[in-house]
Amino acid sequence: MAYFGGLGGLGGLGGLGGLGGLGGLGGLGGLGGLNASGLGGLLGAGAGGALDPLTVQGLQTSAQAIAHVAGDAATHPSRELEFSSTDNLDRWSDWVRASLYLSDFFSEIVWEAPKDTKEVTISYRSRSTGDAHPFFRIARPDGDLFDKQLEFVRAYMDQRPERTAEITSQLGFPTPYFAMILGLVPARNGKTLELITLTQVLAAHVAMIVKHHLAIRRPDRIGTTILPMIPTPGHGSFPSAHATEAFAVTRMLEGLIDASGTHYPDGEKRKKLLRKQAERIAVSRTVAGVHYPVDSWAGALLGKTVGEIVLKKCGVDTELRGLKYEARADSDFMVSHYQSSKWGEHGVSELPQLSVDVSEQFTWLWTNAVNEFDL
Amino acid sequence: MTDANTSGSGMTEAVELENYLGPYENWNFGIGNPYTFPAYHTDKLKYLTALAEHPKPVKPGLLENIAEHAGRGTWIPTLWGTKDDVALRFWPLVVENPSDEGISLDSLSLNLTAPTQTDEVGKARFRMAFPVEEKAMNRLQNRVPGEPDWSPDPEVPTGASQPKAINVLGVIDDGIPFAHGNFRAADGKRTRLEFCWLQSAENRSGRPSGVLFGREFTRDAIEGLIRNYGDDEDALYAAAGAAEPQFGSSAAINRLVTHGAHIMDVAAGHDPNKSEAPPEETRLVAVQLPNTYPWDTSSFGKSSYLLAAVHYILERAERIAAGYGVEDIRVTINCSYGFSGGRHDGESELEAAINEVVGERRNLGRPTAIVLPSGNTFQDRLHGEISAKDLEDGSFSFKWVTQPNDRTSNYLEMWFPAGFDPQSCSIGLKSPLGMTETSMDLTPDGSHTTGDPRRFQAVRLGGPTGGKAIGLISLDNHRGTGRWRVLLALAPTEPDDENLPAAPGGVWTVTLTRGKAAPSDHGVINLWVQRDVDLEAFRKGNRQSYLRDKKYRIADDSGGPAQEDIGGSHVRRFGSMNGMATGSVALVVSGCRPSAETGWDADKPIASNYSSAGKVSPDTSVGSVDCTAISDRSNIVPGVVAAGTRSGSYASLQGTSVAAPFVARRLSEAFATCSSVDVKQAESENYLPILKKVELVGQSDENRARLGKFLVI
Repeated sequence: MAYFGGLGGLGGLGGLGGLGGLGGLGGLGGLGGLNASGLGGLLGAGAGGALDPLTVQGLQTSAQAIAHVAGDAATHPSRELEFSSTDNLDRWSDWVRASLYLSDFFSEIVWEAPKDTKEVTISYRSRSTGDAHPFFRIARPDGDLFDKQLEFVRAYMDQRPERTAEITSQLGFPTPYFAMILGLVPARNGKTLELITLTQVLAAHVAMIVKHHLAIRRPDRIGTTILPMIPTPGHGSFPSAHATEAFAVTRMLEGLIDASGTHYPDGEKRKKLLRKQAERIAVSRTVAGVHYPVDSWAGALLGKTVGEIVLKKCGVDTELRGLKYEARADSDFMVSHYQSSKWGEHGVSELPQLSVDVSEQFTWLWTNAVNEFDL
Repeated sequence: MTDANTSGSGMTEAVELENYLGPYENWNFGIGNPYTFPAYHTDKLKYLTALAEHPKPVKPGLLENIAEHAGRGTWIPTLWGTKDDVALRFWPLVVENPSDEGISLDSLSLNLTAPTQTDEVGKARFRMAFPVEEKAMNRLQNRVPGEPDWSPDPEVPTGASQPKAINVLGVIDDGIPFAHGNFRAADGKRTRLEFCWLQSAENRSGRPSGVLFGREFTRDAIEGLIRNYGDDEDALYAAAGAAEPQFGSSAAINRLVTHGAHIMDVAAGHDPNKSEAPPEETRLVAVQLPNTYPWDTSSFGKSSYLLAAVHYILERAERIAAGYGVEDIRVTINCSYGFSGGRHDGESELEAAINEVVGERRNLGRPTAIVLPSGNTFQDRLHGEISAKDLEDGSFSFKWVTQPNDRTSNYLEMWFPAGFDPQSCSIGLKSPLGMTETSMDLTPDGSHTTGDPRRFQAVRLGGPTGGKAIGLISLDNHRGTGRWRVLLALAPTEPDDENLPAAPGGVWTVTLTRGKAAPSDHGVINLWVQRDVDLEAFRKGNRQSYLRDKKYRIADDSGGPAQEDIGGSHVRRFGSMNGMATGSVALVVSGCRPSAETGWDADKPIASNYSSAGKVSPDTSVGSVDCTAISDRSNIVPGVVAAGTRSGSYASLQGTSVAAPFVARRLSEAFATCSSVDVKQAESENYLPILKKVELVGQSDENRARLGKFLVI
């Protein structure tokens, strides 16, 4: 069994599906393919699930055969668990924690998409104060912008042969591609992997909200020669969920590297590698023929804000400044331009700073993850 | 182009051309034009490269004095020899096509002759070649490019503090990673690459430019890019303008692995993790060929760009010499390219042009080496021989197979031996299933009153008198030198434009009939099919045509690929030499692997399966291999490992292409240490004597033809 075996994750997601409100996670860009997720991998074990019929029958016959030695049915006084405590989180199945994180996060996210401005604005609304402040605003570009962007998509096509392995193994969350850079293994970094998967799931959900409202058709709908090398996903093109997830994870991991103290002697280089990897993951989707470069721009910006909200919910002292994106037809996506001094020419502007309430659950996960870097 | 002029007037115009254009031009700009790459038949094509061959040497300065005529520009790219006032017969050129209606044979004629109406220039013979993209062209430049803004690296030891001879190593290739860490000096910041010319990059106006088209990066410019973008090489190449598509093809530098990165690393790379310092005495110059390069793997279209590259390297080498105070600087140029056709006697236009410029430089006492690969077509059935005996009965027929789904043209060249005038012979071409049959007498068409003696005959689906043209038979006295050539050109079997007629794919029968008046005692008539492979991911849809013969043995008795011509077929492995590597100044390198059977003895290398060779007989009539170098690690581990495009990346690449730069590297090392006397004495053998090598003694004639006499280690 590979370190990052994925089928366990599928089982875990089945569990989430059972929550009703969260049904359909399996269909999220990231969750379908599953080659690695700390949460997913653990979920397989944590969720239990139905046993095979033979074992079920065996358990019953053995129960009948041995029960008599326990004597009568009298109860014994038992220890009670603490009320409303993060100490209990590790006692719950992994999917239960996933559900709690998700509910916590989205209880503070609100959005609006007025038909007159054709802008989508996503805001953070504090549960404690009720104040809402936007952290991401995006304008719907005209259709001809995407016609022009097709030229970039075509220019990337000739890299398909050399990126095939990456593209097909990144249909799900590309966690191994980040784990490689930080040397993460499930045996030691269970909570870090859980944090990565959590960040990706949150980013994917936020991206779906934006995609749904903007409703931009994929490159293969408007360009006959794109002929994607992977199935075109069943959601809008703009922004790219892969870019959102990858850059959210990158932002979160940058915070984790800072918090890990001297664990990595070369933390700044690892951060550069993470950003470069995130760029490559995003661009590979253009190579595959399912995204325009401006999709990556939108996703990368959205992902940055999601990553920063995660950090702040974890109690990390970091700046969260809202971002606004008005796509430019001549923008190719490169991480070297993905910085505040350069992104203005790509249509990025900044919104006011905002604060985020610290979450007990997120802080619990963060502390456990950071502790994995004490060796 | 409409069908009316493909089937009618186009041919008339072709025969009335005052300035000679060869059979490839007649196909690619005449009736075959609709089948060529899209850039050739758009209305926007403004600039074309050309190779001019003057009847006698002309000083290129002459062109500066010719006024533009009727708005048609003519320019010369960077040329070596102008400072020394060297006259040359061969010039690379760029000509302008002011027409808004694309390029046709008669507009070509005007483009060439109108701006060059002096006797000296106007009488030239022209080879037309690939276009220059408008955004790459420096339209406002004087007819001869300006000076580069360059100065020597003050940290390179010179004079008495430099124990070695400062020399120049030039590499001509695609996808050159000019900022790669393996080409830097010991401090990792300075680069050893003095000049890099990207022939098809956008020529951004407002910047000083020493090149007519594309962009030039001097050492300073490269070091500036490394300083500003060194931590992200994707950003570096994008900022340099090297990563943009040209003519709709993505830039090769965006890929992980390119031919050019690998070849240049074998020739000049130095892993920064090695403890010893890189050889700073060898200064590097690189030329990146245009992206259009893979459009056509036949010989057509490359000559001018390649010749311009050689001139550029030599011209910049003289600047390096002056800058570092070196007299008669020694220059090694590696060019890991080639084609399978050509006359194979060192006198194709490109070879003759390279012979000329290298010869002139050697005459000035400046050592100049050209290292070329022998080719990779040994097993590809692209070569054949027709002997006098084969023609005993008066004619000889053979099979030429074209493949279905082939989206590019196919070419077969037939070369008569020197002194053989095929006047009384004829050629017949019969399609698969006998759908059409065309024949042509091999006598020049008397209506051509100027230019080389020649004749053209269209191949039509409905036979010689009607139907759509799907091919061209041509005869020419090549360069007027008495080497007669028949070229058969066939349209794609699956044209990109489905409204165009396709040439049927399958077995074509070619019949050469020798008339009674023709000599019956003559040397072999050679056949070469042009290479036609789909390079990497360029997706041009090339499918290789080949010669088929029942007697040709693909496998030997052990079941492995046969390494000798054992079946008595006219289709041959020996004689498959790279048609660009038969010139007198070329040092030709084949590819080999160590032999497992002999315990990896260095003196018993095995020729790589694909490595092309000259004839087995001692005669060198179709060119010969000078030496061999490793191109495979073993019989089951193909290729050798060298750099990918990004610093720190590596890839494996196979072919004689990777053997040649190894020899170029060793030659640059020898140039750094050998005495002038030794270098001078080695010149007539293209510097083979000064290379560090193992002599291969007691080998068979076959091995000698494939490996040459030495293994370079």
